[in-house]
Amino acid sequence: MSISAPRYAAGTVVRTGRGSRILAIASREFFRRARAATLLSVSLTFFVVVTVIVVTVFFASLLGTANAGDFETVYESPVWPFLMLIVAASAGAGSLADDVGDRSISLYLSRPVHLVDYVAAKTVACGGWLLISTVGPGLTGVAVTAALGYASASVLLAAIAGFVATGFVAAVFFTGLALGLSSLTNRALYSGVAIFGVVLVLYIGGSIVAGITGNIYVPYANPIENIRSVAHGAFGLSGTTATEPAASAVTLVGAGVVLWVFALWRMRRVEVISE
Amino acid sequence: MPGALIDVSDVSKRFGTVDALSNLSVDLAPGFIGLVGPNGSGKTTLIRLLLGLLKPDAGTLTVLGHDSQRDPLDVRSQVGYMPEHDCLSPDMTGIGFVSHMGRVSGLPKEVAIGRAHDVLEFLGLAEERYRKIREYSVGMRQRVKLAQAIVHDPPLCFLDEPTAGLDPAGREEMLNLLRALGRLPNHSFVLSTHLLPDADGLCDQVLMLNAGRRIASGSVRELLASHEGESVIRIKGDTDRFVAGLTRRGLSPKRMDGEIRVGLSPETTHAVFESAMEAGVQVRYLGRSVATIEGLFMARVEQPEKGGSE
Amino acid sequence: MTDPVIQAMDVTKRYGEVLGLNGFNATIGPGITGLIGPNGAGKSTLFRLLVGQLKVDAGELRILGYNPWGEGEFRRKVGYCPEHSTLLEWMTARDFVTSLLRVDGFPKEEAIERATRAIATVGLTEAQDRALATYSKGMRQRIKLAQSIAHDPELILLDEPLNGVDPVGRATVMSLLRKLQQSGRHVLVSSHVLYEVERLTDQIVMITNGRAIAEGDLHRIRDLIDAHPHVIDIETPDPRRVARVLSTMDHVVSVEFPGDGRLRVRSRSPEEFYRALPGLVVQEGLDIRAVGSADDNLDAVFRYLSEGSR
Repeated sequence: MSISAPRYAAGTVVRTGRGSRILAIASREFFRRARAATLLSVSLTFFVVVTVIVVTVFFASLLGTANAGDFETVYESPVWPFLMLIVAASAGAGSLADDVGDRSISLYLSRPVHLVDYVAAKTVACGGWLLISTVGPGLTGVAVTAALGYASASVLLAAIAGFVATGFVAAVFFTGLALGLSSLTNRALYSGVAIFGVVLVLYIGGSIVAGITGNIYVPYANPIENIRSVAHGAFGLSGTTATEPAASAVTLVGAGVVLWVFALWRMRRVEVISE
Repeated sequence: MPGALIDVSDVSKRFGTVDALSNLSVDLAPGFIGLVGPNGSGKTTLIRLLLGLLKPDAGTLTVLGHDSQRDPLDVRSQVGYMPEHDCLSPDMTGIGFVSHMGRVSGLPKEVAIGRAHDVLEFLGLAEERYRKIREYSVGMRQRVKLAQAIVHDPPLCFLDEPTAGLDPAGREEMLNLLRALGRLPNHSFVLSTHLLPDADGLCDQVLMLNAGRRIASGSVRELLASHEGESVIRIKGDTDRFVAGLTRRGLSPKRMDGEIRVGLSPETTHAVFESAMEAGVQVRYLGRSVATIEGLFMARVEQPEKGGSE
Repeated sequence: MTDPVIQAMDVTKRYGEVLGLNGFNATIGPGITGLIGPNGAGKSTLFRLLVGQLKVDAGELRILGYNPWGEGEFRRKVGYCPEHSTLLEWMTARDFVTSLLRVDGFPKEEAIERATRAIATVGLTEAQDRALATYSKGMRQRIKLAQSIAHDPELILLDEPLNGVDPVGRATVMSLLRKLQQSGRHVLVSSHVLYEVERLTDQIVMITNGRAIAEGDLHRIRDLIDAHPHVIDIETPDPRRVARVLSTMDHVVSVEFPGDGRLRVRSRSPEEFYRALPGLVVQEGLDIRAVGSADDNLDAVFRYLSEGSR
C-alpha cells in the first residue's frame, strides 16, 4: 500500500442533478431485485398469462368472433394476483427494509438526496418490475393473438386498453403495498410474508364477511375482488361484479398511494446519524 | 465569518426535557478537527444539525458557506460521512458499492467509477475491490466505509470512531491513512472519537462538548500551550535516594503514579544526572510533561470519577 | 512462589476446520495481565475455554487451579465480561445485575445490595433504574462489567471492555481495574488499544494464530527482540559531542542525527546504556535535556513481533 494522494483534479467536477442521483438509486435497486425469485415469477406470469390468453381467444375465435372480454379471462381466477404477490414480495419487500437492516440508509440520506427522492427511486424500481409483470404479459398475449390472427384489430386495441388500465391500477396498488410493508421492518423476509399475509387475509376474510353480511361496501376491502372488478370495467364486460369498477380503481390506486405516503412517513422516523 | 469551515451561531436543541445543545456558538477553521465529549454531550445532535437532518430550536449553522437549514443538499454534496456502525451492503462488491455512492453524491457515472478505483487503491483495497463485501474482514470494511465517505472528494468529511473494531495493526494503518488524508490541501476532517490520544496525533483543532455546552474549542496548540511546564522523570532503582538528591540540590520533586515530576530549566537539568549517579539509579525517561487533549478534557469535565453524564 | 492464576499447556481448540487455539502455552500470574493480538487470533476462544463454555480438544487448562470444564466451584471466583452479550432490554440495569446474582445463588437482599454497589463502582448509579434499552453502547459495556464484578470474584476476565465507552467512562474503568489489582484481585483484559493496556500493566500475553508468541514483562520481551536494537532518543544542544561519548560504549550499534538538538542512539543493551549514562553525563559534563526510549513500549513490541509471524 502506498501513501500517495488519489490522482484526480480536486473539486472541479460538475455535480449531476437530482434526476441522475435518483436514477442511480433506482437502477441499482432494479437490478438488485433481478434475482431468481423475481425472474422466475415474472417468467411464469408471462407464460401463464400468454397461454391463457392465446388458448381462450383461440377457442373463442373457433366458436364465433373473439371479443375483448375473452382476453380478460386471466383475471377471473386468483392465480394472477397471487403471481403478482410473488413479484411484489421479491421485488419490493426488501426495497426499504434491506437498507434499514444493513444500515446503508445512513449513507444514502447523508448524501444530497431528499428522503422523497430516495423513496421515489425505490418506487420506480419496484414499480418497474410490477409494471412489467402486470402489463407486459397481457400485451405480449395480444401480440401473439394478433400474429396468429385470432381476433380483429378493434378487439385487439380494446384488449390493449384493458391490459394497460388494469395493469397500471394493479401495479400502483402492489407497489404501494410492497413499499408500505417494507418500511415497517428491517428484514425483507418479514415484509415479504406480510405482503402475502395482508392480501390473503383481506381476500379470504373479505369474501367470508361479504358472504355473511351482504354489505355492499365490504367487498371493497378485498383487493382481489377490486382487481377483478377493474378488469371487468376495463375490458368492457357486461356481467355484474361485487364492486363498481371505477370505485374499485379509485380504491386500489388510493390504497397504493396511502401506503406509499405511509412508507414515506415511516422512513422519516429513521435516524440517519446514530449515537 | 468568511473562510470558516463551520460556523455555529447560538444553537439550541431540546428533546423533551433534555437540552441536547444549549446556546452553542463556535467557529471552526479548515483543518483536522477533533470532536470530543462524553455520551450525551450533544456531539451526535450537532452532526445531525450540521448536515441539515434536524432543525435547531434556535440559532443557525453554516457549513462551507451554506446554511444547513436553507440549503441542506448543498451542504451534503460537499460533505462525507463515515459512520461508526456497519452500513455496507454485503452483496455488492467494494468497487460497486463505492462507485454507486459516488453517483448518489452527484458524480457522473464514469467519474464515479474512476474515483472509486482511485480511492480504493489509495486505501489499500486494490486487490479486494472486485470481491463482495460480505467476504471482507473488519479492517477492510472500515476502509470501504472511509472510501465511500471520500469518493466524491468532499472538502469536509465527518469520521465517527474510524478505528472501532480494528486490531492494533489495523488501528495503526487507519491512523496513518487519516494522517495522509489530513495533509491534502483543501480537505478538512471532523474526527469524533472517544480515544483522545488518537486525536492528539491527528488534530490541529478541537471542539469539546459536555452536556450540550462547549467547554473548549480552537487550535490545539494554543489550548495546550498553557499546560506545559514540568518535566517528567522515570527511573529504575532507589527512588528515595534519588529524590533526596534532587531536593538537596534545591529542586522540588513530586512523586506521582510511578513518575517523578519536577520543574527544570536547562541550567538545572544536570542535577538529575548527578543525583542519579550518586543514588546508583538509571534515568530511563526524562522529558517535558506533554500536554494532551486527553489531559485537557479530563481537567475540564467535572468529577471524572463519576462516569458518564446520562 | 505463588501458584499461577491461569495455566495453559498445549491447549488446542478447533471448530471443525477453523482454528481457535493451536498448542497455546501460557502462564498468567497475579495482578493485571494484558491479552493482545490480531482479530481471529484466538482471544475469545481462550476466554470461552476459561469460563467453561467450551471444552479443550487437547492440552490442559487450569484457572485458579481448577479445570474449567466440568468443575463448577470455580465459577463463583471468576467474573467474565464478554465482548458481545445479550442484555435483557426491558429490564432496568439494577434488576438485570440483581437477577444474574440470584441465578448465581445469592439471596435476594444481598443480590440487590451487591448489584447497587457494583453499579456505583462503574459510575452508573444515576441511570441504574432505567431500562437497558435506553442505554448507550458505552453504558452497556459498563453494566456488563458491573455484573462481572458484583459477586466479588478473585479473577476477572474482560474481553474488550472499553468498546464504545466515552473518555470519562474509560478513566473510571481503568481506575477501577487498578483498584481491583491493589485489593489483591487478578485481571485478564484483552484490548486492541495498546496504549491503554500499557497504562494498566507491564504483564502481557501476545497471541497470534492460536499460539502465544510472547508472554511476560513487556520490557523483558523487548530486550529479547534482538533484531531491533533499542532506539533511544536524546535531546541536547551539542549532539555531536554527546554522540562521540556514547559511541564509545560497545553495545551502541549506531547513532543518528534526526534534526537540530536531537540524537538517536541504537543500543543492543539498554540496561548497560542506562546504567552507564548518569556517570558519563557527570564525568564528561554533557548537557542532556531529555532522554527517552522511542520503542520500549507495547506498540513497538507488537509491531516487531507481528513482523516475525507474518
